[in-house]
Order: sequence, then C-alpha cells, then structure tokens
Amino acid sequence: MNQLGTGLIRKSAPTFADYIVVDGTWKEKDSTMHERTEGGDGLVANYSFWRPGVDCAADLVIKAGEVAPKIGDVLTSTETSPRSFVVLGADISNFGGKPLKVAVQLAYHDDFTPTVVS
Amino acid sequence: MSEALAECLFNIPHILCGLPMEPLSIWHVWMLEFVRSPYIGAAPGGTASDLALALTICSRKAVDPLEASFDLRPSPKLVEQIDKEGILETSLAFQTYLSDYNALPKVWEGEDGRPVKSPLCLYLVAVLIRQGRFPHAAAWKLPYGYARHLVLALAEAGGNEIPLISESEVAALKEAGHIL
Repeated sequence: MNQLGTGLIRKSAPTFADYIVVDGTWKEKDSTMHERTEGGDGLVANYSFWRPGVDCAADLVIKAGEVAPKIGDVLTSTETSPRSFVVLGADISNFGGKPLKVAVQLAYHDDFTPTVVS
Repeated sequence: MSEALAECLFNIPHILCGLPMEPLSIWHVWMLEFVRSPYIGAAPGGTASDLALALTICSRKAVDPLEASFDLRPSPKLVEQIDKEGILETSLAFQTYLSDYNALPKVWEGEDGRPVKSPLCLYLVAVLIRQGRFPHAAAWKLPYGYARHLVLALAEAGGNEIPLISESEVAALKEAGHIL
C-alpha cells in the first residue's frame, strides 16, 4: 500500500504515565480532511488533504494517586514515538466513592503543539 | 464467569466448631441483621456470645420468615467449643465463610442512580418475586451473593444498562494499583 504522508492509525493502544487503557476500549478513527477538485478538462481529479489527525475514544483507569483528566488537558503517550492527545470529552465513573475510570474522547493531529493559555 | 460469581456459587463445606454452615442465604443475612450481629454491617467488636449466636443462625436451614418460628439460643456446648478452639480463630473462620458467600458484583457508581430505601434483604426478595417469579419462600432461601448477582442480571435482561465492572476493567484497576 502506498500512502501519502505518515500513517496515523495505530492498532494498539498507546500507554500513558498516569492512566491504564482498559483492554479493548481504544478506538481510533482517521479524521484527516480531504477535498476533490477536478481539472478544467474534467479528466484530472486532484485530492487535497489537510488537518491530518485521528479522533480516539477509550476508557482510562486512573492510576492510584493520580487525578482524572479534564477537558482541555493534554495526554502525552509514553511510547518510543510519543503522541500528544487533547482531551475533548471526559466522563468519570466512581467506585467506592472515588473516581477511578474516565471515558475520554481524544484528538491527535500531526504537528499538534500543546499550548497552555492562562 | 466473573470471579465474584464463581466465588459465591462454588464453595467447600464450612464446618465451624463442629457445626456445618448452611449456604449463606438472604434469610441468614436478614437474621444476622435482626440480632445486630457485629459480623454484618458496621457494628464494632464481637464477643464469644455474638459468635455463638452467628454460628447458630448460619447452621440453621434457611426458612420462609412467615412460616417458621425458631429458637436462636446457642447451646452451652457451642460456647464451650468456641472457647476451646479460640474466639479469634473461630471468628476468622466465620468471616471467611461469610466472604465466600458474599462475593458481590462490582458496579460503577452512577450519579443518577436511585438509592434503595427498603431494607436490602427485603428489596432483593421483592425483585426476585417480581422479576424472577420466585415463590416467596424460595426467594428468602436463595444464596445471598448469588441473589445480588441475579438481581442485576434480571435488571439487565429487562433492558436496563447495568454498569458492571468488566474483567478487563478489573485487570486495569489492579494494574493501576487499586484494591477492589
């Protein structure tokens, strides 16, 4: 298979320092945008791609002593080639009166640079 | 099958101070609550007579509380036997028996859950009669832990989404350093 650019989708879940991804819950979907434009004679089709990235969903268990991620937080994976995901949704579940699990919606984009706005 | 369900279904016989313990039923838990046993709930401490009473209750066959009368006085021989075998040792063995039959399903706590206001044993019996079509006596005699699992399964079978903690979640929680 030939692919333009770098492959975005990874089949295995990333690892995080403060969270454990619940087995089988990591889902990734390519969110790269594209548009088709045709040449003047109608014989050539061009595709433009922009904003390469992935949308992800997962259930994360919060490691003992850590806190739940919030919307707007950035989670950086601890892999060899780390990726930084921005948290777009966080739904916390409690057990024993403590927040232990959070269902997150994440987004990752190529060249994403986390910026903290105070 | 979940570990908790297997735990409360498959048990070796428990014999304490020479008394074979019955499978811990809703009736047994109800009776332990009735006598305010320190082995159920948050009551502190526990004496030899508390232990003798708890052993006496749990060695009786479960009955329909509407149909039976019973003498709950422990025999003097039992109190002697507890002294002989040791209160602490017998107490620990009794707690092992309780936890064997009381391995409850683990459920995520929702913010929009409706708390049960009826006594829990009565609530379980009511659900088993209403949803499980159990006769009144049979519901009271059902093993307590199994009844808790069954009530959730009945709710799920009725189309409700039950946020049970899955085996994958249990594994992740253990890896994350949490004790369940």
